[in-house]
Amino acid sequence: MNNTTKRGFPLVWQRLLRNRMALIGLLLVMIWIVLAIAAPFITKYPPNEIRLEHKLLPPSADHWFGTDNFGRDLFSRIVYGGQVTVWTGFVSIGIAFMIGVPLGAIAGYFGGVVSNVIMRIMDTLLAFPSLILAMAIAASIGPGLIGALIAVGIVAIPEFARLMYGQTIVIKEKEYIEASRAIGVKHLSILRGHIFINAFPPLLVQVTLGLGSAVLITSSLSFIGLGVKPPTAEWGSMISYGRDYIISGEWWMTLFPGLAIATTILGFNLLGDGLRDALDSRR
Amino acid sequence: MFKKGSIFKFAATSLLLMSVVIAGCTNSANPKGNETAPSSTPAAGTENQPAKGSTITIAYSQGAGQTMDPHEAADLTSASYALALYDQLVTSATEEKDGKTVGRTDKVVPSLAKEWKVSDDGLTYTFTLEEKAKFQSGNPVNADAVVFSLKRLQSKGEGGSLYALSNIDSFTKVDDTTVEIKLSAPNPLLLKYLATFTFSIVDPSVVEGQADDYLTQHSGGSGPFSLEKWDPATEAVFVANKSYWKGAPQADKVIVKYIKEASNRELLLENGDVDVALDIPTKDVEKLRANKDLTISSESTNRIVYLGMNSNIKPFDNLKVREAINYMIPQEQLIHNVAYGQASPMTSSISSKSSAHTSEGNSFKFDPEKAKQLLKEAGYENGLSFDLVVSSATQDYEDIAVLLKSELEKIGVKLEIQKTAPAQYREIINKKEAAAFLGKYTSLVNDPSYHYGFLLATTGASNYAAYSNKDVDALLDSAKSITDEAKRVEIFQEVQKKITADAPWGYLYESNLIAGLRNEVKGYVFYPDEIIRFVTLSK
Repeated sequence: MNNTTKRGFPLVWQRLLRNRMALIGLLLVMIWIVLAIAAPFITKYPPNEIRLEHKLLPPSADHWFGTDNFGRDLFSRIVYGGQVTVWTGFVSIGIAFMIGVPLGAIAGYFGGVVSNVIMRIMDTLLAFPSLILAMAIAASIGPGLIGALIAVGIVAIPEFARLMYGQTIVIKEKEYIEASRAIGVKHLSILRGHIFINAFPPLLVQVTLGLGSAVLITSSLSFIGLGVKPPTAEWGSMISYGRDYIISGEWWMTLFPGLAIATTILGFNLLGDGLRDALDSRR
Repeated sequence: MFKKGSIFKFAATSLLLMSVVIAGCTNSANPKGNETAPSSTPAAGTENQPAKGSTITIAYSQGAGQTMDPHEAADLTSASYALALYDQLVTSATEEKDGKTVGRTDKVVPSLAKEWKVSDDGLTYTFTLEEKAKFQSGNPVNADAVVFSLKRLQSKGEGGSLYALSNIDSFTKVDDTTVEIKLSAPNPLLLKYLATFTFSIVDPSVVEGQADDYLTQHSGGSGPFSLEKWDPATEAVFVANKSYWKGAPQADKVIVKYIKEASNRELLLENGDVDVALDIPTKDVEKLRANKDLTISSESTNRIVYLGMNSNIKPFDNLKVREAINYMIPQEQLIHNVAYGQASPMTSSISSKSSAHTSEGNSFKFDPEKAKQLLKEAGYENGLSFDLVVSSATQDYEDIAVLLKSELEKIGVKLEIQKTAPAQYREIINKKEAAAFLGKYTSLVNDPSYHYGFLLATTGASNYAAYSNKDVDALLDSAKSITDEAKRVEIFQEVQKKITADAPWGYLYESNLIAGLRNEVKGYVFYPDEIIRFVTLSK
């Protein structure tokens, strides 16, 4: 089984690179990840450095994205904000993956009462609009990055559980699973070695798409004040901050963080769609 | 990239949202219709079609959590309603200054009471009521109504607490137009208290036989306006009392709209959709002043903005730490970059609008070296860290906090900004759990006794910094029964010196009240208590 996946990888990669949209998505995502990692090396000014004599400057060669009402360089803040975004995205989707996938696998594999209990809980979580649920969770934990992380993670759990559940039900009926069972392979090994490996491609697509929505929900939480603490740079809170300055003409305070969010989400969605097509074995 | 499914999902969500919005509209439309003109006076019925152009629309920033009941009112929005719907025995004076009429909340003039006598011992006040004063129901404002109102306000939360402060022992009807108020101890502030919206006189014939909270949503007074309809989420409509005993108000109708976003209020004002917009952000004052159609009124109030430090909580138990923080407050920067010049420096624990204000004993100025030295003496040479609780209600708080944080970092003090929702913020500071917080305060009664009684007396209801100094308490107590103004000023200056020396607060600034008006609006009068009076407005 492992061999097929490995052999399949170059094929998937090739298909992905041939898909122009997916390539754009990959590029956007890579750009933001690289910027976030290289933040200290590519920015001229620290993100929280207040230089009041430079406040509200429009974009220029010195300040590419302009400055805010404290004279903080917006380019620095957006790049450092990217760290927060990338970090929260990966951690929260990580949480969702670690919890959702095992739950879905157990429900699908064992069925019966276990499945009913787990999946009904997941349905309950799914019944709430994700932003509303995330707001409720984040508000009860209290404002701060950790609260936002957990909230976004919990909201994404049911997506993974449902996907894994569906995959498991299909895969567990396959003959090779039946054969493994017949020769006495343990449940855990079957779940890990066969079911998870075979369900991995669609899960990967879900991770990519989930990252997009995680970025959106984190930014939304920050926008309404439930995300990072000031003065930490974060895209959603930067938009919320700049909102008061739109009508007085300082458009750059909202435009650039807005573009950052838009391109990141677009990147993850394009990449996710591209991956789905590339991983589709029927092609 | 956008699959059919997601387009469908988007359309479905939009439809759902639209239907919710439409449902919301129809729902809120119904109760509005039912609440029309509660005080159904014969006069109010005939004036339902105001002449064109005589409607004044005011955009307020807040709508929720208020009441129309003058005895329950606790916020500035409700206060302006109370002053529009009711009269008080006495009221704040106005004066002509630089060709403008401005309110003087520190002086009282007759209103429902045309004159009064104070006994020599200062314990008995005898008020003679104005005979021509009439409620909107047509009933005269007589001694029974005054006695009824004083009784009623005692039973209400907000009214009750001010009543408790007033030293009133008893009040009796002498004859139809005479009321006698007896005090348990002299109170130099009594007349100022009686001029507040809390001591509004309500019409017994409207209230009697109704549920206890009837006045929360209805009006029943002698004031210049009556309530036509009120939806706490969107707007309140007031119609003029044409037979107002002081003469009909200038405007036929005043509509108060609640517009939360400052930028929306500004746009509505610029487009002429509202005539007056309150709470204009300081940063936009200059821009709006450039607009020839608008007049921006920015006047200093007795609102103070301060940094409270709780001396029961480490590290602020150490006076030297509190002093060090005081040496790190960049007042100039705050005034220029947070308040955009629409503020003045705060130099004592009371606003400079107070007649007793003194900055004597305040040697704090921005001096990082001195602050570092003090921290070293306090044993914090390796720095310290604390949480600063700020409310998310105003952007200014966050801006102040960000600036303070960056300054304090330079001397090794780490400040964590705890930005919390207004309700949470109030809960935290009410329990005196915040080590440090940003607070603001506007004394409704412009007098140091009232101000300190709430803010810095040990038992003060708004003493969120848990400040306690026995000497200060004793001085405040002694001032309560002194009527000689010069002596009182002396005592309160002593109080200010002691408080500044104890440094429970960092003094930030005194902020202006900013209102934007269209040029066609006449008769806007600014009062330092920040409450808008509708009666003089016209167009």
